[in-house]
Amino acid sequence: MMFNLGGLLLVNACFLAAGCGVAGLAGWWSGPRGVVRSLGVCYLVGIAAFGMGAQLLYVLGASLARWQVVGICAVLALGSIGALRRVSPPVAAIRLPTWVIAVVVAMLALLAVDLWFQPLWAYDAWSYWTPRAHALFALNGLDPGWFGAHDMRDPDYPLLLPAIEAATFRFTGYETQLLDVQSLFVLVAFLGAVVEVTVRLNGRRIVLAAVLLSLVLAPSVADQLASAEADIPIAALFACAGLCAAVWLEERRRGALILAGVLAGGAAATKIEGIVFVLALFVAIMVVQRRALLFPAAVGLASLAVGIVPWKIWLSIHHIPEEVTLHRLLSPSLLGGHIGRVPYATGYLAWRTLDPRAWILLVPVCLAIAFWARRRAGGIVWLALVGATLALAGLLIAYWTTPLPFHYHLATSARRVVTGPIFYLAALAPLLARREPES
Amino acid sequence: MLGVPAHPGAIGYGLLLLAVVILGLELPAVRRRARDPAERLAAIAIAVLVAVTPYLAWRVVEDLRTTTAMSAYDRSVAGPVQAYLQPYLLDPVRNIIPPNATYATVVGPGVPYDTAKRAFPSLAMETLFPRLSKSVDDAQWIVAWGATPGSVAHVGHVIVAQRRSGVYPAVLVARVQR
Repeated sequence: MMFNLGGLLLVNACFLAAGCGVAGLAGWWSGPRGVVRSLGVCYLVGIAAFGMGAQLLYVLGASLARWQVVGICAVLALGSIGALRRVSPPVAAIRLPTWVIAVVVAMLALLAVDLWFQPLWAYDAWSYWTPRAHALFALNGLDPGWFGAHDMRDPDYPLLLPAIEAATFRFTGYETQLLDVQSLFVLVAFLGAVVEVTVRLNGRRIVLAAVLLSLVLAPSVADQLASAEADIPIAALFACAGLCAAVWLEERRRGALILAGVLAGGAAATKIEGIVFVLALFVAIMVVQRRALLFPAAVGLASLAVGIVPWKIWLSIHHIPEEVTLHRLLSPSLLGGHIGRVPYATGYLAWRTLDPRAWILLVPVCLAIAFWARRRAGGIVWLALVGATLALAGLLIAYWTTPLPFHYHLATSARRVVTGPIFYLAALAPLLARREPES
Repeated sequence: MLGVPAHPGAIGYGLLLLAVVILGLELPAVRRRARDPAERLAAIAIAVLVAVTPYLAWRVVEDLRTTTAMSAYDRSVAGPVQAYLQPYLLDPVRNIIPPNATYATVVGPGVPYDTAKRAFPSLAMETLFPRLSKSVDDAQWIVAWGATPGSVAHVGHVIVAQRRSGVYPAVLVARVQR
């Protein structure tokens, strides 16, 4: 397993290099110091860019052997060349109390040890996500017979996570126990992204400390990391897209919104609800923006086009049935017929979002800060509230129209799918409480 | 997490009580130092997080006590075991159905656990990889658990791939006759 850990680190270094290239090309960072500060965002961008690229190549018939994985990442990493030559701008330091950093690092270390010994036990992980990755790896590509097999659950779910895991298997062999360690990398990168954007936009230090501590200590985060499912990755991608959108609203650099699009496309390529999250994010951006909507609308549509359309075309060509369709989500007769589900699903989702046993005080505190900041934090407060509310509303519609047994579906998934809106709100919270600049 | 206790137990409740005590000591300082509502809210959240940190760390340590005690084999089969499935249930079927053949799974009322019933097709996909699962109408073989292959298709000789074991019924395999 130690040898395989080397492979895991190597493939993740490739994702990081790819993300540095894409983010550098978008102008997110400049100079060697800049890239060090942006490693969290870069890693998540790398996961999203590689995942979407890999999905596209699988659809086109590629096998994604190890050299191809390295090749894709190397091509994407070329974007770093120009960015490294630029001069990195000075950034104001934000110092967290040493004890906060110590608790965060100690908890991450404890989680790392725990995940090292964690077997692949969660139902969706061993019976769905990992077998899909194994099939990509062992069958050397996307086999329509296997991916459209009769017993394949949710055959319409896109390929980002299986593609990432299959790339990992190219470096580690078929080693399933390290997959939850991979999830920890995503969490650490997300924490880094929250710190970076809080510093960049002069967010409130004490709120940042509360958010970081909440994210590493929340029982739901630890439980989901140990499950090696797709909910932490999709939540981190969606929330980081929100952070990039906030930077765009403040700095008006087009590259920031393009990165938001890359990350949102990654979310759409991870799970079906990623489409809902992309729509929630870009509608929220347009609500805040109000005019000159063409660019954000184009980026939002492009992220969906790259993240999901090639996969949908492949499903259609191979006559693989889609369980979640636009018709199903918007059918008046279906919506009317199941209207009785709405109050229960609303209450259940609200409880799962606020549940202190899962999230401690993270959500009530973020909501209270947003309420307090509604008149002073500018567009970011509406970006946070509208984005999170629409994402939850999209989840509600998914449960409203679910073809699965309603109570079973809620009970087995609601506690996980709310992670996206919660991470999104938490990531933006330090920016909501910014102090007015002193004159 | 696999090994987190379902209920806190004496140690867990003790740590939660400690959290209340720590919180009681922290709150006056929070009230004194907070300068505006946002700072007060964040400070309260941090105070609560600090107070419950021992309990939350204990959860992870309890999980580690379980997972570090598992053998390599236990770890490799933890998924099916969590779904109340015997992980070796379909191993003999690999020797019966050729690798390029197709199969359909049938689960009958003889299986006692709903979770196991739902997970059986997934176990089949994993164990019988790369054989393809098909509908009963299109499959070359039937893999039946808690049911008979003849109840869903016209089949030839029925093979007992796995005998009945405790509450778990036998796994029966048969080739479809068309």
